[in-house]
Amino acid sequence: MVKSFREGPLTLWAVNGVTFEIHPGETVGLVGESGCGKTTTARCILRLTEPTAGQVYFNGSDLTKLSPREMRAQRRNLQMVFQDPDTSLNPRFTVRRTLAEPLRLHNLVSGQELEERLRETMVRVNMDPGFLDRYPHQLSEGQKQRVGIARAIITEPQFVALDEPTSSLDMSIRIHIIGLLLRLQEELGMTYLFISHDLSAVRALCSRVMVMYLGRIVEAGPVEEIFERPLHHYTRALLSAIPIPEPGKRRRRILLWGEPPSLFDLPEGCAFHERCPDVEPLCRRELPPLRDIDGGHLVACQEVGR
Amino acid sequence: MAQREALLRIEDLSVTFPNRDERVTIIDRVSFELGEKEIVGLVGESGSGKTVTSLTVMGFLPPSARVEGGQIWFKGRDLLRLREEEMRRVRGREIAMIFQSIRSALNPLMRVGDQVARVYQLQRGLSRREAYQEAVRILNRMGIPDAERRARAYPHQLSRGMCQRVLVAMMVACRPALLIADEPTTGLDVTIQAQIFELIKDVQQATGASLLLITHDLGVVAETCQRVVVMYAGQVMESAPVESLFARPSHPYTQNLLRSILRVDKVVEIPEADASLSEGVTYGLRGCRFALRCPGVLPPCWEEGLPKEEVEPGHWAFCHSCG
Repeated sequence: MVKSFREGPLTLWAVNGVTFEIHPGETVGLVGESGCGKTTTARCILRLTEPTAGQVYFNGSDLTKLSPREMRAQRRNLQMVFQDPDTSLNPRFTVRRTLAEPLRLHNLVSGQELEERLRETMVRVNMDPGFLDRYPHQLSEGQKQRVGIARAIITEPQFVALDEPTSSLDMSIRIHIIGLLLRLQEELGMTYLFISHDLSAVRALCSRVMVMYLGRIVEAGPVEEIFERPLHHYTRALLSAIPIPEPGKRRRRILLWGEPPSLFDLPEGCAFHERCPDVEPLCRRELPPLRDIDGGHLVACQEVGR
Repeated sequence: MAQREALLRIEDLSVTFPNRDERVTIIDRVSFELGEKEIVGLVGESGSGKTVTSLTVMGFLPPSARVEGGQIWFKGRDLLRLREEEMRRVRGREIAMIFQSIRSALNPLMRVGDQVARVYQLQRGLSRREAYQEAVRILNRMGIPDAERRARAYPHQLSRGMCQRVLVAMMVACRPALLIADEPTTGLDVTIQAQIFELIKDVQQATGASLLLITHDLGVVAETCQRVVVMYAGQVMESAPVESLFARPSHPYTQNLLRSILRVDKVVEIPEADASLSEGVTYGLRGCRFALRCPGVLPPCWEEGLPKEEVEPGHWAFCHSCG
């Protein structure tokens, strides 16, 4: 999949040839720093943003080929939870209206059944159904995010893209939201794509993880494998940068030199080569392919496994 | 912990803000101290009062806020009793602060080199040229590549990480005795965050300043600080050496907070309970503000006054049930 944005004479390559699969019931983490293309990837899957090129197969059919009407019908199966509930919840809608909207659009339930579904969903996300008549400004941050989750799950989707759902939350609320997402997945059998820069949240929630850098996947694999044996220098630096909440326990920190290059002006070859401690002449010329090193552990690096 | 003369000692500080017709006590009888060359973490979730505490130290409270009581002792003087001109001499020269809103702390219409040079001109009385040379030198020391060229840039032409380096340069330009960093890496990517923390630690070591680090990130506290002060709803809950706090948290709030930590280096158990500690914080209680959510609450917790229990040498819990 490719997504580029034009800005005058410049082209920004937000997502630059990304290929991956997600299997039913999985939780896949998509991690990376700001601007690496993780949110754009998710938006392209749901066609909230139209991809420039590429296909998205969902249950075997290509979503990018669907007419707007066919896509709308599919949306009950593909939902998204957004990072900031303050901008993703309509401030003039009560919780009831926010939650009823997707059910009404898809003609799923009505009347007494609708009311029951609303109440049941509220209880599912650990909220008192009494909150149905409140407006977003009457809710706490954690409650607003739970409404965002409730709206996504109310149509009983098969796939939910979670875009940094815990990033703006306090620590004690974050862990609760993660616990909630785990339970909902178990109850409803959903598949998650969890987008986050918070690697500790990824470790708690995901079974597999993909690391993005400047629009490309640089490493992917089972969570345990990637967190314990990262092979790409970028993944290593990213993991080592996170402080461990245990005094005296020090890990060797790999400090990266400089900052990522501009997305308008990507370097030739491996996009990471300017910051890589192990750069070789080949890295400056050729784009490293994403190769399977060891039973599902994929790395895009010329030097690994050589 | 060795007995050291405190550089900064906050005693029984209370600050109120207006809310409709009444005044809300946002900082409630806060006391803690910071020794020479010490790094102390001030931690808490949203609304715990950690930022307001630091703004009070700097004399940066908005006009609607009112200090209701207490003292802030710094080098033998109570900062709350200083006149504005005296306070202005303390700020920058003796106490300097960096803020979480990186971009808004810089003047968007002024080249960053000139902004740093202004500090040298105003605080050290250097000439324009000397000040500018010093500014370029310090920007270089802050790890800004090609500092001479970057000094001519405007803030919007630099990344947020670079802007924070400029602000750290301005903070240390006058070699203040106390540095206050309020969530200095909010909104920065983790690899850049690690760079900035290394820089702040280097600067603290090199200048021998004390550092008050305000953060919600317990990982940063564990790696950076010697002591930690835990705040909740405007009150200090616990204060202890870092090792002691993480190994033996005494206050029920701290215990809950530590249980909500997620880690990259291992899988943690996700608690079943709805542990949203900072939601619906109550500022109206006269006693302990955590009493509403506390699993070990006792009758005296609702009454006026917070007990101070020394559970270990230098490890204090402000709690009735910890005695």
